Amino acid sequence: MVKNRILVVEDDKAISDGIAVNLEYSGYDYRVFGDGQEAADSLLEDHSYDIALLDIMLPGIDGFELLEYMKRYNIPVIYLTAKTDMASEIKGLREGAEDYIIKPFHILTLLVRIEKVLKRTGKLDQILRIKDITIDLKEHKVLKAGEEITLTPLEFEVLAMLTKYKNRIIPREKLLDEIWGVDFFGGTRTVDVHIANIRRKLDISNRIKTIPKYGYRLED
Amino acid sequence: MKLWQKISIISILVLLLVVTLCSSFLLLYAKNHILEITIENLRIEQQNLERSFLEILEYYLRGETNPVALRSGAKYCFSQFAKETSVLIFEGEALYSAININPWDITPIKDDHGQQESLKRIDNRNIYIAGSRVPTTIDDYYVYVVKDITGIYNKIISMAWWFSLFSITGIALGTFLIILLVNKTLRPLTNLKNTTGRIAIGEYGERANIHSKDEVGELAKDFNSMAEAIELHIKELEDKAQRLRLFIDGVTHEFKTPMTSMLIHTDTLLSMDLDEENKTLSLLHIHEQCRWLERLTQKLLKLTALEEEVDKSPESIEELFLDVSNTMAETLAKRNISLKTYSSVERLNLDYDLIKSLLINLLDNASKASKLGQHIELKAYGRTIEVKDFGIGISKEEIDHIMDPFYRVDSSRSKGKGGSGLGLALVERIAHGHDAQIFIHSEIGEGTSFQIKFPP
Repeated sequence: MVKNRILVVEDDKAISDGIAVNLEYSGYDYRVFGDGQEAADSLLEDHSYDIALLDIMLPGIDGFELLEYMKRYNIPVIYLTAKTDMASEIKGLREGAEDYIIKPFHILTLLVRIEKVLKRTGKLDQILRIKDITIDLKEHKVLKAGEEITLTPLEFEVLAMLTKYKNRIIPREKLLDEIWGVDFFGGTRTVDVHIANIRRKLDISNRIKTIPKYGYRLED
Repeated sequence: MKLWQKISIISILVLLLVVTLCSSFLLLYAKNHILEITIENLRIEQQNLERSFLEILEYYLRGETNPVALRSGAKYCFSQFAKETSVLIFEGEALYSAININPWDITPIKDDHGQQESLKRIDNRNIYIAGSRVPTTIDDYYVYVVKDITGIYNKIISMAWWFSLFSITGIALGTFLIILLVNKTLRPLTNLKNTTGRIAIGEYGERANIHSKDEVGELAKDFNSMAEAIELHIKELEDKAQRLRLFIDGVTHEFKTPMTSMLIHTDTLLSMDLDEENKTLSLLHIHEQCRWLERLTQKLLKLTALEEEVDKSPESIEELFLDVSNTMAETLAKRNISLKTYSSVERLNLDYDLIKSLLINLLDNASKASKLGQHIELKAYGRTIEVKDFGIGISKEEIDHIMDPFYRVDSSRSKGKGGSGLGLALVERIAHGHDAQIFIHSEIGEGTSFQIKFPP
């Protein structure tokens, strides 16, 4: 399995370190630059990125200028911006950025956005693997040790999400929002029931950890 | 009802009253006068007739005793002077008359002396009768003048018609002129009203364009000064609100970066089972950001505290410079920068702590702009304190912005040097609190000088 590769250009070290550790734990390959010019220069030799996360206010050259370099190598861009004024957002999107995230943001939001862009550009790996379990997102199939396991569509979605963001606690509310939708009025108990079913069907009780009052974490 | 309508109606009513009264009075006066003249003439005519008749009668018929001869003689004598208005009466009968009325029947003369007269309306005619006894020694004759003066009455009536016509025309013309003039006089007031309306909807730059010398003109002048004051106030308020908004925007933006990294790291620590090394790194970042926020808050607090009055007193400049040099010594020594102080002023009226803070901020900036081993000058002369460096300099465009809160000449780098972007905003506030002016001279590559000029 080839890891998706991400370019991060952010001058605040605290923020870039935070993003880096999360990308690493989520199974992405990445490279971080603190200076716009340095990032642009590095593209000459190495430009095999699936996505770029760009700050707008950067030393060297700014994020808007950097977008031109990214376009040259067909690298989709997500802006990380502290600018709340709509003008700069519209400018960024019109000129070809895929998305933008306003600081401060939740790391899970960033990961979801990254995944959406990867999915749109066809760079997302459709096969997820964790130990002896294989999840085919395209065919909606789950195999454990080569044998197909039948899951309900909702159980499949829950398993897929836990696997995508493995090693990370996914809050129950987040699962509800993403899978059942924000209009769903059933309580978080619904999530617990589905998790219990997945644990039983796949026999992975020890891998899906319950974090009391918060959510679940799938560990590899 | 509009003011112009009120004034017009009042004026028209007054005009109507005055014209009517004047016309009536004139008419009455004219009528009496004409009648009087006519009657007076008739009276004189009667007296002349009587006198002439008497004279000729005495002369002509003296000694005559035959009644018939006397009668015809009298008739003859009378006829010599008679006109169509003259009547001679003897024993109640008309002896000579050109008219079909016997005046004796209407105005008999009882008294022996003096004239008797009357004005009677007979058969729709106004008849004036004046008569008197002729004091002869022979017989009792009565001489009358009977005159139809209906024509004079008619003339008076026609005169009244003319008067009315003139009055009505005059009033109509007056009404027209009053409305026209009242409108013209009140136009500045309408003008003023429209201006007020425009100001009320927020066009504070509007002014009343009235230059008359009357009360309206004075009102407009006062109104304009009021509008001026309001515009100034509004502008000040708007400027203040704008500055405050920019400041809050700046504060928000400034808080966002540390908040973002703190959120990312707490999020990561909460949701992931990190190894020890990464855990420590995340905590260090959070700690760092907290300290940065703390510094920022301190500066902000200082800036807001400056809203209060500054407490000025004459302070020794030498002492101040020494104090500042000591405080800055360590910072400057790190970059091998020397500070040269020079003062030709003994004392300046200022708030010691605030000006010290101002100078430290300026020196801090100067040291950041300077290259290693350069020197910085701190001078006092006249009412001016100057901080001068020989470093990188500031471009013309940037000078306009450097006093703005959170403005950094190089946004991403100076943060590394510990700049909050609030230093010069603080300097500006402190100078403003002292009513002092700030002059900045800078050349790229040659250095920058900040001059703080205190008021006398």
